[in-house]
Amino acid sequence: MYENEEKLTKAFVIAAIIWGVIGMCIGLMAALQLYLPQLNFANEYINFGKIRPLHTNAIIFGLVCNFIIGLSLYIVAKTSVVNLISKGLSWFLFWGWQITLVIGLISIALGYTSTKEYAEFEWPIDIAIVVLWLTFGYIFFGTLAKRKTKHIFVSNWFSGGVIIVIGLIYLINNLAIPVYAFKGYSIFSGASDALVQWWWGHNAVGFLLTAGFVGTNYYFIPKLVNRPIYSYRLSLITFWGLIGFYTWAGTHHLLFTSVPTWIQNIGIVMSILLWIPSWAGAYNAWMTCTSNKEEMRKNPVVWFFLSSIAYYALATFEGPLMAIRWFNMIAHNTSWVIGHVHSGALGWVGMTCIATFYYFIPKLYKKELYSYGLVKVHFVLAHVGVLFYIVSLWIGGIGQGVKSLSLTESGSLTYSFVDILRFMEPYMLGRAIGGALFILGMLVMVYNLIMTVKKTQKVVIEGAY
Amino acid sequence: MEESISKSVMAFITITTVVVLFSFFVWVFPGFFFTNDLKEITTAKPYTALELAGRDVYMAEGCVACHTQMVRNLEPERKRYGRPNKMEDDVYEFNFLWSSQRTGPDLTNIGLKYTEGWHKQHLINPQAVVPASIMPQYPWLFEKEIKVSNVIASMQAMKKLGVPYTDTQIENAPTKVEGKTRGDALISYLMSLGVDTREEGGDLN
Repeated sequence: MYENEEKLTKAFVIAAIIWGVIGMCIGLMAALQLYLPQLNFANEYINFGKIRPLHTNAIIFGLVCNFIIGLSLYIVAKTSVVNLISKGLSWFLFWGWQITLVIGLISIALGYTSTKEYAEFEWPIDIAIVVLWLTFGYIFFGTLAKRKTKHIFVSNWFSGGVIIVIGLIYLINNLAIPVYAFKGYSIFSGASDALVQWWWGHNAVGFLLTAGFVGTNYYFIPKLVNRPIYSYRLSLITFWGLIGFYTWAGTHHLLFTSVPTWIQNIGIVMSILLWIPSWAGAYNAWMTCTSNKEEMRKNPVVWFFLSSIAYYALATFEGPLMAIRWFNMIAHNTSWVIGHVHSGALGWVGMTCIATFYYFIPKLYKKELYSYGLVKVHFVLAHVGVLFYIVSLWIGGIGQGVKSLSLTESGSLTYSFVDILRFMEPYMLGRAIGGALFILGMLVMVYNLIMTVKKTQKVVIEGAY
Repeated sequence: MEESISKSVMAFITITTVVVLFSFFVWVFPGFFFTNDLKEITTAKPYTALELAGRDVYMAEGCVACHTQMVRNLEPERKRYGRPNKMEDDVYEFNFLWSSQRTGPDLTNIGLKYTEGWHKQHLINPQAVVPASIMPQYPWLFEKEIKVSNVIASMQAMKKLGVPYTDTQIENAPTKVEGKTRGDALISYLMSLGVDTREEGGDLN
């Protein structure tokens, strides 16, 4: 019944893995450039200014979006007990997305960029993305509308929320007037542009990188441990909390800037409130994940889910903290922020993706996973990698922030900019080592999954998945 | 409410959209109306043709990946980077360039600090000027010339957005940028930063 959906999901998941590995390798290159500037090779297309947006866009639009689109379409069809409303459109979406992304990344390397973070693509690419996103929404909600079940399954709430919010804020933030091909100016200026940008910037994190994965977790964790969701009520709190508070919190990126103070303060209050739905979601997922003790002991895929939840709890604790003025004063503009993002991106998003791949790809291909031993190897590599990464940037970033603000007793600056650069050097290396270990783990996973798919014997899977 | 949204797709879409747009109307939307008041009080002047071309180079090269243009109003920041940004300073900044990472120093007032010659040497080989620098080298900027038609298009677009360029300024643009390299334009842009908004005692240390 679901041949097309399975084929489509395979394509999206494989694309997600490929973009993920490419995006992480570009990220490693960026990290190394910050340690060894010679690695910019005085080259126009691969210097840090180009590499950094290539990294973020490959990960967000490549890994994350392929993962969310592919799996949310699969989940919506399965939980609604119907096929997707259009086979043709769903493949248009798949190929359209990959082609747009390739053109988009090339255009950034050539210097066509709006410079707005996580929205660097210029207007022609933006138009393509909006069209594709509307196609995604049409397929998703169209399928949901003709469902054979009475209730909308909780995963679909989150996916639906992601589609609506991302569609709206991406469109508004990218409103621009075209100047010439692949060059436009935002229709907003200065402080007003900053507000629109961080309305988007923070929600790209909140919805693409958070709500989307919370949604897929509500489907895959119960399947993996073969137990129901721990609490329906907590999932309601998570959903409405994220929808209700998240879009307000963006101005914590603009504390102490020239935007009006009352707007800054909204961001602080809402960021602290976000703690509640975040930890409610984390607790719910944790309790679901640990409800099957035997599976928890022996299955390393469950460990990946558990650590992803732990990193989620960590990142959503650190986030509100950094939104408080006193911490923000130190953290703002420093590498601490990059470390924080990666405890979310590598710890939460990364581990969730990894766990889902290990669980779901063998199921899609109706094979047993090739090696659980290699999963354990990956587990160690991924965790040592993330820890190296974020601890390096905790020390490096906090040091950077404190030293930048430090004044001598006579009131002059204690450290010059060069002093701070020299202080950061070892931590930049530490971060690169952490990233490299994480990528090594990803390659172990790719090998393991390729061997799984290549296995000749098929296994009969009992029940639905 | 929960009953209806878990059973009706239309209700789900409507309620979610409304809830999400609250924040938009409270703190994003009002921002669109600051602009006219800010224009009244700003001391910022529109960029010259060459400076504007340089700003486009600054954007294209991704300088925002490492350089902020937002001095926070904190004593150490004022000491290190000069006068803090005011809201009206950036009223003509279509695409704000505040950035969020200070891997390199803030550039809000950089036009007050160095000479053109320094910038050229530094862009071609930063390590020759600041040995500990981790900035990439940009020699190619001084090999390629600016496309004049692009500069005119940029000025016209800015005019449409409300930057007070006169027709004569746009007509004269080709003579101002002809034969200049992208590096020349970038330096001209960097040299303009902080100049219009300069105040007594607000210089860089």
